[in-house]
Amino acid sequence: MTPEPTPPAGCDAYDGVIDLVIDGDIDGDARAQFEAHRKTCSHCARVYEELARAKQALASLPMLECPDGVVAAVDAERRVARRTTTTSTTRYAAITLAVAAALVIALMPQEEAPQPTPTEAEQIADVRAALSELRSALADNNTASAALKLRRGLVEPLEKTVSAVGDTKLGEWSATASAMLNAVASTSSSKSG
Amino acid sequence: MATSQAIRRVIDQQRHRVYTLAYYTLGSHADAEDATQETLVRFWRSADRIEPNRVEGWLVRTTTNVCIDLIRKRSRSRESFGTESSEQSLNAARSETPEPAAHAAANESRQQVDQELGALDEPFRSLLILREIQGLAYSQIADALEMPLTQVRVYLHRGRRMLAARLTPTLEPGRTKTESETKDAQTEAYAHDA
Repeated sequence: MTPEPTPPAGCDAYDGVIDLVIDGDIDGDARAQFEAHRKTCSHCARVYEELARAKQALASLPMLECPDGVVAAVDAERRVARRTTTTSTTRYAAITLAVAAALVIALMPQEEAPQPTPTEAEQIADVRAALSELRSALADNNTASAALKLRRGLVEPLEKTVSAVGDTKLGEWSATASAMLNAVASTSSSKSG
Repeated sequence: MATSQAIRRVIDQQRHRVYTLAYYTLGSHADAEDATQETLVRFWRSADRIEPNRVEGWLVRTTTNVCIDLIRKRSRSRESFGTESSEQSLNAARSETPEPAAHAAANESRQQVDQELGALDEPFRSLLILREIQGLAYSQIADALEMPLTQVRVYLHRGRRMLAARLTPTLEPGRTKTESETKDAQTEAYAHDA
């Protein structure tokens, strides 16, 4: 059968109606009018039959069952996401607490540590001067001089601070800083030979 | 606020529909499982923000978008669609088993329809699946895909004719080819609208 490339005159009006009839979305006079036309028009009759057949064919395709493994995979992904969120939250909380604790210690050492004695005040001034000298030595790329200034200007005063303030927070900090600087100074000394 | 139990209940109720839409859109069980998993994970993440009466539409829309993204990523050609055995795929269906001969004939017919459906372009394929396989009303489809009702009707009518032409090769083959030439623009436009 040779297909008609364009519908016969008068069939344009029914082109959209065919789908409504197939879907059952039209009734009464409008439907009756189309049915009457279909009986006399081979083009519209053929289009109607083929569209109805296509609709029926699609309706024969079944609903499928989603494998249980898919839901299990979704659950697993959720558990991982929850764990990651918890870890991130915990880490964030830990960092926040650490920063807050550092701020408290930094802002309130005078409440816990004894008032610096004139000796300590002088030592702090010495440390500042030593840092300035150290900065200059490093700027001049003078490693040996820098190592010496590090030990004499920072390490030794800090060790004295530790002995002065003892078990206070400031003392603990000084002890830790002293140990670190000592290590750096030793390394620098050995490198410079 | 959606509880875990409520979300899980929705997933249990809707997963088969999501999977069915994904399978007939993508033509592969493996792809359908990936798409379904992605859709349901997104649902878990977004459930708090979805009104209960819009869940089904949200799932339809998201499944369609996930499938389109998958199609783009894997650059599926028409020929590569539906590479799995349709018979094997359709055996996953929940259906009664008639007598062997009738069953074989019906299966063969379904395979052909499955194949031809897979050869259609978006959005025609998805719209036909939603309307003819899943039985959604025009208004439900329009709501789910956030598409004007008139546009849904036009696409469905055209998709139906394309499929009919494939199932009945003597029907206006030239017309089908003409519509194929505009498929990329239509698919892209649909994807952006969705």
